[in-house]
Amino acid sequence: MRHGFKAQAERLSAEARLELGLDPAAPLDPSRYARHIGVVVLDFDDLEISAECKRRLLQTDSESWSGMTLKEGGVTAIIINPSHSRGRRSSTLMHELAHIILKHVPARVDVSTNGMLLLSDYSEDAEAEADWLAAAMLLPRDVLMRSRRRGETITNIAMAFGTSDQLCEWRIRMTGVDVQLKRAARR
Amino acid sequence: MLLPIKELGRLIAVKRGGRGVRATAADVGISAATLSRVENGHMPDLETFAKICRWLDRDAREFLGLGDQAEQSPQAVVHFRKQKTVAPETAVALGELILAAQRAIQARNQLIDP
Repeated sequence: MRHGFKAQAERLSAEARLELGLDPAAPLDPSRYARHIGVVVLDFDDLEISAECKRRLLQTDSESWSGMTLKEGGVTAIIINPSHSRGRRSSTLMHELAHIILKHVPARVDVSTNGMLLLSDYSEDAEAEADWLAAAMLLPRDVLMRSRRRGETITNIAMAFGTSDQLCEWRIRMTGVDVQLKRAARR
Repeated sequence: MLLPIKELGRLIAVKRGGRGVRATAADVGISAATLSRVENGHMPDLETFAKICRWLDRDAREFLGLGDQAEQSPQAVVHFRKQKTVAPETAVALGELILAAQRAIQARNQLIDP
């Protein structure tokens, strides 16, 4: 993680709330934020695809993809796998938005004329940054600090902020919130 | 007609011959698991694909059928769960999804800016 990135992530998280007219400690709805930055979120169910394709992507192999970002005619659109849980969908959407906010250069996926599809991901560094920023956008460190000080459980915080317990727990661990509170209590 | 991706798997198998998967993967510069999956028809990601083409000494464009319509092929970034390959049926379905999404955006753009 480049120097200063974590602080930048908290700043971006606070700015997003400010721009949307939200309280600094309010949950951030990624769909609303997407609209705010001019990104279109396409509803999977509105897309015209075959039943076979739907079955493959939502049932047979739904674990293999979380979402995709597509650029077309100056528009950036995101599709999220609707078969995943609410917490995971929100995290995926925020992750995709994080790549956009950070202006990561997307590796490309090409559908070529003879039906060969090539897939690619961002670099590992870009992925790590997007993971970090997405979590910071959804769960600002100050919010976690305040909530944990009040003795709120991970499940309660996750529910209030529309994330999975797993993400909330990871974020608390990575930001060292609990450790800091324990130290303060010992003093 | 073989799908080009199947052809890629066949070419890998031919060139690998009797050499072990691990040793071959080390030559290519990818993991043994990834090599096996691509040899069995899984779709590689771009980086893996480029390495395989280099090792096969083949031009990537041969497999991509680039040319006449290359300009129109949409570009998308699919967010996967940290895997380097994807099953061929899923790749086909994702391709269909990308094209459907592209049509949806084009239709939307026409509404906004006829």
